[in-house]
Amino acid sequence: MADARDPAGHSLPKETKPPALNREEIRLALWSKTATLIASVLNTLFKWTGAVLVARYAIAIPFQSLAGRVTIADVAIDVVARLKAEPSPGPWLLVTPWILTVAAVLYAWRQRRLRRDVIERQQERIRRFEQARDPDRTSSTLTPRGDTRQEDLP
Amino acid sequence: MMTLAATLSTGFAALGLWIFFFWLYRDYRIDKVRQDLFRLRDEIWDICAQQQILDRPAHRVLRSRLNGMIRFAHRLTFTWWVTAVTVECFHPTPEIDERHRREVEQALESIETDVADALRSRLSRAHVLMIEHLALVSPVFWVCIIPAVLIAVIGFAWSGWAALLDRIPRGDLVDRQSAVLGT
Repeated sequence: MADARDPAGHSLPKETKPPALNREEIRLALWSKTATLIASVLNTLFKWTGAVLVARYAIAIPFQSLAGRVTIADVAIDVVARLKAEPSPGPWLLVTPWILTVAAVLYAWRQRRLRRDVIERQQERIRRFEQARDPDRTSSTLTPRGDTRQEDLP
Repeated sequence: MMTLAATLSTGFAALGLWIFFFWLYRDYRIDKVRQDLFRLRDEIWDICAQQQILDRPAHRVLRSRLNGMIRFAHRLTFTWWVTAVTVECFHPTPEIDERHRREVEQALESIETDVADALRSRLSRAHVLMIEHLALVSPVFWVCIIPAVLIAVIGFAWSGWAALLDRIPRGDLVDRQSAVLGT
């Protein structure tokens, strides 16, 4: 019987023959999948718990301290009234960063969409060019827009 | 009323920072690392096309490694790393690790040395990119790095000020006075 060989044509040692290695690989794949699943659950738990805690302690509790006395509408009306009445920059110092932040997020979101449009438009040409030179070309299997495939999401 | 508005504004800003870090920034980092890995994969393709070794294992193995990194970049987090290391401790797979390492080495041994070195450097850069990604998406890294940077800045400033004292004329005045007063 011929010796087991790797893709480069080198003989493999006895202990790394495919049958034993395949069992190991299946075991590794299972553990890898389990680790990914555990990490995914922990990550999701951490970021959502953090978001809820920040929302509770930084927004809800300060607002609850004035429950029955002040409403969001009162605050909004007061801020708008002060913006109109006061010549001082005080209220504007509060409002301007939010306007700039929302504008920056919208700008970044549009830039991201534009970049993905370019990826989608160009990837097919690159694929065809590389396939012509190398018919056995392999792919990263991302979507045409460069996103993670649904089945690869944990 | 403005105090309440300022408090709420700070609260929303804190929530916004959390959302920014765990959703927007993380998505950006995944796109960034993938973009950098695609650049390295293109460089490998260019080198192999120029050397006409596209069908050799050196190209095939390195490309499949980079494809794997690109495909699973979204999974690479500090939590995943800790979990994977824990699993590895309980169920080590040295044969598979060794086989993967040997697969690359053998593939690179079959081509010219200077080309192999060029390809190896691309693979090393890909590994560095993955480590950088792992660190930069981790809140643990940022929580640890900010105090470390502050300590480094204070330490640097401290040693800088001590050196500055030597250059000031009569800089030894404080030391002499304290010696006199201390006796």
